[in-house]
Amino acid sequence: MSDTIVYLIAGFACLCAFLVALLPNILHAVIALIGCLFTTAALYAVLGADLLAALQVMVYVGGTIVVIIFAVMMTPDLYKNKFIERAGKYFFPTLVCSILGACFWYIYMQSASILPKAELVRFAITKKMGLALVGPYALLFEYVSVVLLFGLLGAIVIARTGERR
Amino acid sequence: MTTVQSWLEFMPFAPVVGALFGAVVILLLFVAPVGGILTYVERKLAADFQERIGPNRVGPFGILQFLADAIKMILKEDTAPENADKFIYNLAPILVMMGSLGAFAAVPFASHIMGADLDVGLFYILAMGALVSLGILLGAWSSDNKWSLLGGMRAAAQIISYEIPLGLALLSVITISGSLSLREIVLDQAWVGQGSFWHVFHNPFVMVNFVIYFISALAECNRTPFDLPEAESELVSGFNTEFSGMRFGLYALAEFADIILFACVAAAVFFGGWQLPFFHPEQIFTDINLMGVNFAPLFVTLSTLLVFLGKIAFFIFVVMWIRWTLPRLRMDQLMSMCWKYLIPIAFVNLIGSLLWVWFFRGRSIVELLMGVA
Repeated sequence: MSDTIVYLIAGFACLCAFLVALLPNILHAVIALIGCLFTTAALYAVLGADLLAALQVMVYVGGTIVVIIFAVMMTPDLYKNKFIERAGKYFFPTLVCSILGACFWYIYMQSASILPKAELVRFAITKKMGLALVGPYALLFEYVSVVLLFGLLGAIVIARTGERR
Repeated sequence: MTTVQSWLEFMPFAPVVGALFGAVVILLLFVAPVGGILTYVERKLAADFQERIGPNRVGPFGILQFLADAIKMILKEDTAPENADKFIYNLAPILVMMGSLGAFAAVPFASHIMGADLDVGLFYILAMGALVSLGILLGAWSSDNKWSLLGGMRAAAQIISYEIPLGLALLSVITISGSLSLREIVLDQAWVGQGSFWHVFHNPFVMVNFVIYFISALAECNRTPFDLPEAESELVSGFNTEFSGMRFGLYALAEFADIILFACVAAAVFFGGWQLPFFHPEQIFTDINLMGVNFAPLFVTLSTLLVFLGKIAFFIFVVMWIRWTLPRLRMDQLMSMCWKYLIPIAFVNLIGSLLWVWFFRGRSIVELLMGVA
């Protein structure tokens, strides 16, 4: 039963991903992207990774998508510009995606027999992850936050250049 | 075999559909009527604060006013602006409603009444709030109206900004109780003669953080004094200007659902959830036998539920009280209040609370006063 649900959700995620690539209107594509990210979060939740699911929704749907929508709203003549005008433009992305997909499929076929059969085990993983982030991975964790801090400071510096005192 | 049975056998995931259906029914039975009654309560309270009578025509004391409003909204013509992006325009109220209702799954109403005891409950509630800001922004943009767009931009900026002090204020409690599960956070505040008490009285830093939480929650719900996204005197009605009928109703309902949700989180995280000090329903209702059936668990659950609902009602009253007391902030004041005051204070309080936990080995003020080792 849960297999069926997993495949249904995964199928819906794939459908949304296709729509992101194929919809002519950018904002509609963004909506499809929301659907894709949200169903991915649902997939995580069904597979027992609660924290990852909540993070996915919080960071991607709540943060990234809102920023993307802000950017899209500043696009002039949103309805006149077609995202992809000519069919020829489909060729190169399709080629890249097919090669990538083939690689993934190859890796999956190679490792399917080695991987342990996934069993749905629910246990309190959140606490362990939290302790791991401030324990063995503390240095890495802090390093990432310093990188983020530099990014934020850089953004402020760029935004303030026009200002004169 | 009846048709229903064969249909159930055909559907391999009927239990899931059943669970979903149950969740929808319970949520709508709770949120929709309570949200409706809150509109009546709000109008009546507003009338009291302004020495008016308020709604008094429909039913005794006008209490059926919310039903009349609901019927009006359902029967109203559903219009859309000609240049609106119809797909997004139709989707936006649904997104807002999804975000507001979905979060209720993790709210612990009583010891055994909660949708899902999620390991990441509090985080999940904050994450679902993301959908609300998205829905407001998309609805505002799609209705092709300048007032709407201004309101939507304000709402998005406001909600994203105030999520930070909100999260920081909740984080100080999470570090005390050591769990993200709302059930565990509530149980951590049980009064057992000696020991822990409500988290808000754990240490002075958490007390201040509760005030920050409350201010940020007001901003997250777009309530006065932070109702800039729908400021009637400036923006007609803000982001929901072009919405009519039940679509507008969904926005209004989602706003009330948000208030209920933040009152629930305040009650559960800071004020002991369904528990009261010196009140142990398990000891009061030990043995109530009626016709050979023990009704004690039912009474225990109902009394704890009442305690929780009472706390929510108090917070909602305070929210409405503030609405008729404080004037609206300006946009720059709103932003500077969040970034220059609330966030630094919340950070200082978080660090202070952490130091308290480290220095006193997790004991609260009450425990220190009572001399618990």
